[in-house]
Amino acid sequence: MADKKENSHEWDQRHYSAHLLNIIFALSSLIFLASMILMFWKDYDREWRTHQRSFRQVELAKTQEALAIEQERLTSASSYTTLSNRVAELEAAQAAQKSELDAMAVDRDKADKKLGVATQDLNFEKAEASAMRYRVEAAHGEHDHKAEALRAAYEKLTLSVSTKSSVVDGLQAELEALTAAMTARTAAVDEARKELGKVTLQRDLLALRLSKLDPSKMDVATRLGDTVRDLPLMDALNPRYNIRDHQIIVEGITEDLIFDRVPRVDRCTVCHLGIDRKGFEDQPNPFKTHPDLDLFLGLSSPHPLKEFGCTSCHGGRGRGTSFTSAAHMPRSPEQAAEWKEEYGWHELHHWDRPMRPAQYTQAGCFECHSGASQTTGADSLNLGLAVVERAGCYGCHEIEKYVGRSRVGPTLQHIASKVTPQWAYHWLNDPKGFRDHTWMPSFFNQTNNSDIKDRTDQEANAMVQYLMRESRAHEAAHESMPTGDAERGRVLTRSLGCQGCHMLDGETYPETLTIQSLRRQQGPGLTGIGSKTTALWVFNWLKDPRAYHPATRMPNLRLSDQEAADTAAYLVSSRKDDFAATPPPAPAAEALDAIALEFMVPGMTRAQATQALATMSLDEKQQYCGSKLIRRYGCFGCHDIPGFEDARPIGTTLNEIADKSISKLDFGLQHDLPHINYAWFEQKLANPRLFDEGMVKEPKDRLRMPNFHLEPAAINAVVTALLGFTKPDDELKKMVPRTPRRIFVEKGEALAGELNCRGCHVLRGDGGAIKDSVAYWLEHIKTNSDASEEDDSGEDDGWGEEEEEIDVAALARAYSPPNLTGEGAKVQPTWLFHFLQAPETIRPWLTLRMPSYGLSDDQLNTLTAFFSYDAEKPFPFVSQTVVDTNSAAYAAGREMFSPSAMSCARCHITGGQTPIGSSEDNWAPDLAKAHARLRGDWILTWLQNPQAIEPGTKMPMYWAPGEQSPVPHLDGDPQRQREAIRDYMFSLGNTQ
Amino acid sequence: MNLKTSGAVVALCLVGSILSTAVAGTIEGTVTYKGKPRPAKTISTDADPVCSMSHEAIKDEKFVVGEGTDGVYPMGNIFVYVKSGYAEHPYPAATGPLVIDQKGCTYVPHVSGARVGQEVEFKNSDPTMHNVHSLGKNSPAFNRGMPAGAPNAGYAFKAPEVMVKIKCDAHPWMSCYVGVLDHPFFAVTETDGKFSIAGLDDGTYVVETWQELLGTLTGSVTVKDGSGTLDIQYTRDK
Ligand SMILES: [Cu+2]
Repeated sequence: MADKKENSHEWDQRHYSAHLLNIIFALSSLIFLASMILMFWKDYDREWRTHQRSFRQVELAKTQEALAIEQERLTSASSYTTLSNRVAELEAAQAAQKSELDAMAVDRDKADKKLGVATQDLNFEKAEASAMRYRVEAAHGEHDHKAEALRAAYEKLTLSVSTKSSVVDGLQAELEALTAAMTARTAAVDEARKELGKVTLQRDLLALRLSKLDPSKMDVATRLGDTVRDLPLMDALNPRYNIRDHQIIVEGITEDLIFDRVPRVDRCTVCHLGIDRKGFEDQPNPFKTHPDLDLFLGLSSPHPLKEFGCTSCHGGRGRGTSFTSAAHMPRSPEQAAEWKEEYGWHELHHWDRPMRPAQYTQAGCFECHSGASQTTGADSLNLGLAVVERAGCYGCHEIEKYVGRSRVGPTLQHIASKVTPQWAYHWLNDPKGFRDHTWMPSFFNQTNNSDIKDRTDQEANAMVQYLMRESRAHEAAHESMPTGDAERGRVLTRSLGCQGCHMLDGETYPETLTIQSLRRQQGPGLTGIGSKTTALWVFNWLKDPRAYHPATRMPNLRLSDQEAADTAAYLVSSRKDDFAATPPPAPAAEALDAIALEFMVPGMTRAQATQALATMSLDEKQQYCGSKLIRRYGCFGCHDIPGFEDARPIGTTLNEIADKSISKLDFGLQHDLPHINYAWFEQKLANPRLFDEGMVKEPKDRLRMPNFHLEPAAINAVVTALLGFTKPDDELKKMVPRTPRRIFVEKGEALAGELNCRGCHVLRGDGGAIKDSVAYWLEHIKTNSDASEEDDSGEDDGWGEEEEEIDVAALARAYSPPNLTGEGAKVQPTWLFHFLQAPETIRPWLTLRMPSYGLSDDQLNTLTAFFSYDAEKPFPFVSQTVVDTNSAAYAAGREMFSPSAMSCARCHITGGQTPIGSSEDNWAPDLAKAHARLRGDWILTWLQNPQAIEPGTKMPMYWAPGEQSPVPHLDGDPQRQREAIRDYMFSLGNTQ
Repeated sequence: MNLKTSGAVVALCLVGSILSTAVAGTIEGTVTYKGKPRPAKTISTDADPVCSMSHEAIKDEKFVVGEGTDGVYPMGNIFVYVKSGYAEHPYPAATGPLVIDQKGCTYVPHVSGARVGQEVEFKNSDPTMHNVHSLGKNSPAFNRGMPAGAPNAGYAFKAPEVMVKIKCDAHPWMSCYVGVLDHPFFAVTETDGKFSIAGLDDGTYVVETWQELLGTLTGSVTVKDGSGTLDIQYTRDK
């Protein structure tokens, strides 16, 4: 420092070049600056900012449009015109009085000032007076001689205060009078403006919103500020475009972040800006409105945005703010390619909970609603679960939801008494060949075993032979049956309600599987039965299904011998004789040996096995192979098989299958398939043997899952369900509180699903699959039988019968099974219990028959509780309505009930007496059964407004709201009248 | 001068336009049936003793014709209405209610027309219970029970519908039809088959007729200088 020269000299002496360093320094600072700028630019140019900017434009346009429409609406609305004219008129009138009003204002201001001065004066005087009072009191205490004089001064001051205060009061009154006079002049205008404001509220709100959005509507300062705050760098401070204002911190749900739980933050709404707002339905993503705001996002919806966020349902990475980092997932390889092109998208490999692709969104519902069988709005998931149940997936694969369910297929314990070995052999080889739509899947003649058909034919035959040999004797209750009439049987199958669960021969299956069409496939399709079994077997089965198969879901329809014989005759008239025309192949020793060896060798040496085989007869080899193959193919997953009653299911568990690592799914040689779990599931369901393609495998190592020939809609639905089978998330589960109501309803729903109640009944607004069959019955069967009964006595006038216009909808309703929505509010639990146990006839005009299900007490209670809890009605005890038959009200009730007033028996059956002269389709339930069946409070609600409970009902409304009662009884009081009628009704048939 | 004449022309035009709206035209015509008419039928009312008590047998009103010549009969109970061609602006509301009586276990009238929003009053003049059950699809459900002596029940249709069937579930033969329109251009024929629809400007209109058994027929008519004529003929010959 001391010697600069010295220093500079030393500088030059350095062994590096300062010049070069300068250049490097300059360059690096330039690079640093450039990268700084680049960094800021990168940040400024982030996707979401672009989205927010363009959303502002969209919102601006939408608001302008809405404003224009609202303005248009106002302009054409007479109220607006009247009001604004009135405001204008009044304003004009007021303007004319301007000078007068101004003068008044001046006067008032003057009065105001005067009042101010006087008030101040008064206050000073008051202060002086109170100071004086203190002095008086002080002097008095000290016995000062000046006390008297002070007192006089004080009194003088008090007097002055009171004078001044009356002056102030006067001025105050004067001011008030002046103000009132002014307000009186302007009151009309203010009032009119207020009225107008009410009408224009919507427009004014829109205008206000617009003023915050539209730069052209802002004043210069605001506009400048608005622009500057979003400039690069400046936007670090308080930008309009930001994440903070849009992200959702989900209340009560956390996510895992390296050994810690942190609140879940969903930033999806940073770009999906219109998602919870109506009016953006026509916008492309990300601005589009959510497709179902009633069910999701809305504050009053069951899933408010603030409580659920987005990722609870959709999956994905909530904290991501770019297309890729949010873990979007494409619905197809095509979409993936499109996304790569458009957004530079790539799969986020480190994130184990990617978004569910659009077609599988409903899998998310299952995360919380895993207890439900039917979830509102989740049609695809519901169908998927229904297919899983119908196909019986849980027979081979453990699924927690279905643990304890009975096997889905018929028992094979007594198979020899039902079918021939020849038929069984062909059935096992090709179930679809016999019935197009059977749910029995195909094991053989598949892509991975059609090359070894000789062997698989031996396999099938061995299994059949095992089943036949092991088949246990079955004592049928009836050794003979009456002669059946197939035509009568045809009518019966279409009249009794068989079609609630079965498709009949000749019926067309709908092109796409729906949950409703699946309900009609709960039982097997009734085709080819004559080629499968005998009329006598069918007769016995119909008479008592449980005698043959104790766990069957087929209920007892309480058929008479003749009805059962007729039905059996009709069913066996459907034949498919060419299906099982050829005998099965003769057992081939060589093939059976090869199969047997596969099973024996791991337990012994090959030589030992060969030796053992040499001692076995052909039958014994077949028996051995049959037994082992049944185990290999897992037939007992669906069928009750002798010797396999307690066998464990053979498939991998499906619990948490959605979380299974992709590396554990064997894609075989299918390299073109995207490595995503749902792509694998889709292919597996479409062809369960696909992943053997091109592989060289021993027969015993080949894939065994059978082919259900599912159609694309069903596959899509099942994959939705599979993607829902995730590791349970306790926090999400808590979102569905385990209230008693929910527990009882879920249990009841599950049982109602197993019993297929919705095949016939509408339950909780869904079901009634038999509806179309009832319409068919009305058109083709009922009309025929009616026509044959009528004797056509009148001569032909040439006008025929075409004149009778039939209200098909009303007729179909009259002859359909009752709608059970709200049944819990309607009937007494005790009655329902007994009815389900042993159904009695409520609607004698129905040909459909409520079957006997032979339910256990536990099941009966489940259903009874389900109905009551669903309707939020007390369960199980209900107090009885006490009827005083001696009261005046009771007498009035009887009168109102009679033909002279409401004539209830005109349509209602009473104590078995059907209405005279009224056709069946006008009949209504027996009122003599009401006291045991109906809830007293329900009758009152029903009488009040029948249409509200059952739209389209023939039951008329007698008491219109706000109108006079149609009958004069009981002082014309509607409520007392309704109670009286109910009480009278309850006394009918009540022998107690 | 020029100014004066043009003023006069304007005045004339104004008068003309006022005249043309004030003096509106009328469509008149007759609905007939050609062929062998359906014989009048009587209805068995055994179902309700009160209905059988009345001395006169109840006539089926599904097909009603007057005296005819040469196999051509004027038809009653035809609903005639202007289907299109009229101006779309709102028309003044109907004055007074449409009253439908339940008398002798039939509806009187059997066919009628009503305006959207017009009050329809159902009356029960019988000493027995009827219910008025509207099967209309465009308006809210209506099914009112009316015991003997019940006060009239009021209703208003919410949307046009030709025709709305109304029936009594207690007496299956009882039914009537109401044509509901949002304009006043309709009529119902008596047994002379004649109808007249007034208040229409000059122009061309599509008119439709409705018959309970034979369905609808349409015709086109031009109203010129305040009048137009349209005759409609039903037949069952194919
Ligand atoms: Cu009636």
